[in-house]
Amino acid sequence: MDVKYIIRTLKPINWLKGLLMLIIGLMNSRLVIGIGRFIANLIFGPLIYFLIIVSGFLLVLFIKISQKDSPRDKKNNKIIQIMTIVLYFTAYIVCLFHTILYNLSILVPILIALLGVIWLISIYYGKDWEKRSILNTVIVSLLVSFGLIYGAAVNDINIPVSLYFFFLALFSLQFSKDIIKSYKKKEGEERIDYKEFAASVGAHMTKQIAIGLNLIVIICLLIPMLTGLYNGFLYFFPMIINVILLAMACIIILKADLEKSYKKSIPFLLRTGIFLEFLAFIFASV
Amino acid sequence: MMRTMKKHLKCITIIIILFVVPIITLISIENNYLHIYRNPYLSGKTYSSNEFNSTAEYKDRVDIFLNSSKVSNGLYAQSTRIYLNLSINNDTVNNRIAKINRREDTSDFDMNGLLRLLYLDQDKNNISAPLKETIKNAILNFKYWFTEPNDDDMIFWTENHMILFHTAELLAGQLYPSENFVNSNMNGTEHVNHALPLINRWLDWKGQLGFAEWHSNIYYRLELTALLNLVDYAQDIDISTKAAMLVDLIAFDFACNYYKGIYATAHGRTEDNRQLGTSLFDPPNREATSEPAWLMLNIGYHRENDGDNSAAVFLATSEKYTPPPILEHIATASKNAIEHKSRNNIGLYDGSNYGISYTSLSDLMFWWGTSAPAAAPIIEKSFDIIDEYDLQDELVFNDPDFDDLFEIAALIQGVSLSEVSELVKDVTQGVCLEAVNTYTYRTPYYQLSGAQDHQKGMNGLQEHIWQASLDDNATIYTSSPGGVSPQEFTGGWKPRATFYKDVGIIQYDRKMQQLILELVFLYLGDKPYTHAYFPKWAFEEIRWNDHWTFGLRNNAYVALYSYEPTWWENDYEIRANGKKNVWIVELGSQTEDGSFNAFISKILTAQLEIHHLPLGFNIRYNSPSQGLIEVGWDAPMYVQNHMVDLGPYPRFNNSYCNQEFGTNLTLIEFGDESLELDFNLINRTYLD
Repeated sequence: MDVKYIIRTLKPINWLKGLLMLIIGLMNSRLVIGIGRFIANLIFGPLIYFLIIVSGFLLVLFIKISQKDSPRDKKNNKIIQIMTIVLYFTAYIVCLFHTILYNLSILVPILIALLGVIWLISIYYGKDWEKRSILNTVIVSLLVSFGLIYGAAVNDINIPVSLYFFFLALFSLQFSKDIIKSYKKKEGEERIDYKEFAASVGAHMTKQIAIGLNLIVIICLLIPMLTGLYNGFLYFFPMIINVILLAMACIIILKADLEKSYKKSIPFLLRTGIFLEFLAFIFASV
Repeated sequence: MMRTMKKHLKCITIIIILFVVPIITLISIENNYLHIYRNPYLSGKTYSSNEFNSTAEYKDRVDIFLNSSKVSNGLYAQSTRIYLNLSINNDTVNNRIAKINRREDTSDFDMNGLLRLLYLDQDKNNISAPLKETIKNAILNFKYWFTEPNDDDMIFWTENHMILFHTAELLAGQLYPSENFVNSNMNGTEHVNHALPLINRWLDWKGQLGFAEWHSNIYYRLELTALLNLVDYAQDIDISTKAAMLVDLIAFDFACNYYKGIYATAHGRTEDNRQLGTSLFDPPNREATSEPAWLMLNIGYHRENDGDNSAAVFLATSEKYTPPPILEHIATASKNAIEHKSRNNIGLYDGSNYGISYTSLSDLMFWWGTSAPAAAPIIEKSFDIIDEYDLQDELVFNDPDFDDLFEIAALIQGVSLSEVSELVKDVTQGVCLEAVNTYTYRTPYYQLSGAQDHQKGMNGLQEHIWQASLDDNATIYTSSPGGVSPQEFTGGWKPRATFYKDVGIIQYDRKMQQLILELVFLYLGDKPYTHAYFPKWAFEEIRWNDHWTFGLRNNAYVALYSYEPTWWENDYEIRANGKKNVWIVELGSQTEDGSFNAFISKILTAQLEIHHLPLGFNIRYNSPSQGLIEVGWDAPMYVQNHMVDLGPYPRFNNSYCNQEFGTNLTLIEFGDESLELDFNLINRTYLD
């Protein structure tokens, strides 16, 4: 296996994104809890979620290379599978410890268990699914955005409504960005054993999904202004710029024929959108 | 392959056992083992500094005090010298006049001293004519209220400053009715007319609602100073009577809370140096209330070098005020036992129930007097007043950049000043000396006293929330330092403190704050621990492990538990990491518990369950003396399934007095004696 390919699949930058989201989740739900719990969560939360992220990306790698038949690939596959399981269970045990020690809600280990179920199903069935790139895109988007919910849940069972919208917005935007990027990958990196999203689902459908997701993002960014934020004033500015950029992205996607010519401006707008989302979420917590 | 796996498994199991067994053993040893410290200075010796002149009668005590006061060179002691017909120290007086002329902070204290000198000298003529003239000039040049023009560096608006300024204005105006007061361009009569309603307002607030600087072992001296000047020299008889009644109420408070010579209760305003001693040779500074408490009630003790204590001097030189004997009788009778509840002041949002608004300048002084100028309902009007009278931020808010910080915060949040204040109310309301319910439980061996469930999780400036006392030095209390208070043991983050008889459960936590405020706390140096003052030097013997610390003094025992493991930071301080912690205190004695060993054994075997909550804890403690005690951060306190009254309390509730809060009539009874203090009819009646 090519090291570059592994790094590109494991996407360490997304680990940081996921951790940042966890911290934003913690920050956006912190005013209802005490400093004692917050500090404990600031220690345990990133540790647990880091293990989950790494196990998740190993899972993505596992799904991507699971169809390779060489003995060496099979051995690597086995190692990746074991590492995924070990890292996940380590996270789960630490999560249980965290929950018991600090008397957290049962929801917290349940959230981790839910991820475990997804991991398990993916390990057992995902590798054989023809359209498994969908699964991978879902897992990557989930890993990047789920930290918001997990971070808030460790603070308090009553997760602020705005965080559900933040989660949906980030999940959708990350998903949208990844499927748009899959057009590019289809051109350059097409492999027989693994079809990227656009190839699996079809170019037209991918385009429709991307536009639909971007509209969801716009709605999910606007609604928190009404549901209450720690700092709606600062949130407003990056949010409104983001909404404009995403609207522009929608128009370009709608007009472009991505199968014929890949528009670099779209992923650029979406990447900028993700950055502005981060900024808005951080500002919302100030 | 399977054999290899089994081999690895066995190896891992053995390694785990190798690591786990010693850790478990270590933990179990730590839990059972107690370190021991025996004090070489105190072991086997009886020691007390509090018995001096304890049998003297009031007039004898006055004579004792005057004899020690007349040799002091302090300003207030000069009143003693005039009273005794002795010459005064001109240099002392001139130095203070220079300070008054510079309008430095606390000049109002000195002005009250100067005025008393002049009033006392009216029939003695011990002050030389030139000095008298200098004093007169200082009085005529002084600034008596912040609404007057011209600059100064004086704080006018804490509870004690207010009455000191108003008193000074009244006495000065009475003394020079037709003279022109240069700073205000008003004559004396006009000053009297200005001061009278302000004094009446202040006296009525305190008569009905108690004090904002509750149980202050510093500022009650100053309030007594002003009140005694009013008793003696206010020409308005109603003011004089009301002032005398307030002195009685303070004395009654002393009677109910003094224990073995110290004001062994919670304090709204105090300082580290009054509460903390580092060794037998460096004990806590004497409380400013000790000398007047001894003088009035024969509790506590007299000290020769405290002759310049203004409250004590004014008491000893007073022609009109004598403490009603019933108060001394109560102090004596309750020396060994009392269960006392009291309430002082109203909540920040209770103003409308008591006719106190948040907008008029007059009512705003009530709130400023409770240290609430930055609280949400008041801040906008406070800023208006600051602008209108060009007041210094530092003098009002204790910070020169306060208004800038608030305006920046309002800009970032996109909200009003009042809304910013509400966002950071754990500080802006936390420093407010609002309604407090204090509980005191005293036996011959110890006293436990504290503010029940008071502003939990909020930040304070000078509060001292609870104290367990075995004698005047063997005292224990906890705090969570940080926030706006620069002091280590005073102020800081307030706990949810709950008390029942000899047991106290004190939980510390605080809500996370707005980011800007957290950054301010970091800048101010927030301290990542809670700690206990536990002076090794004051106990005969101390034993401790990671969580429990036990102290022995005069056959009285104290046990202090910390949920987080503790360590001795030095010979008087126990620390525990983190800002979230539970401290439990239980007191005992040889009579109640048998030997020290038996007490320790009972405590160590008591069932204790502590569960984290998002904010605070849930605690179940099976106290050896009181049975099962349950309490949470928000939940009531239960003792053997009976809910404990944590407040709001009556104004006073004990065997001698039961007065509803907010009423104007205090009836104190003891045997055949009674003292009726009626602020409605302005009537002070003592019957025996």
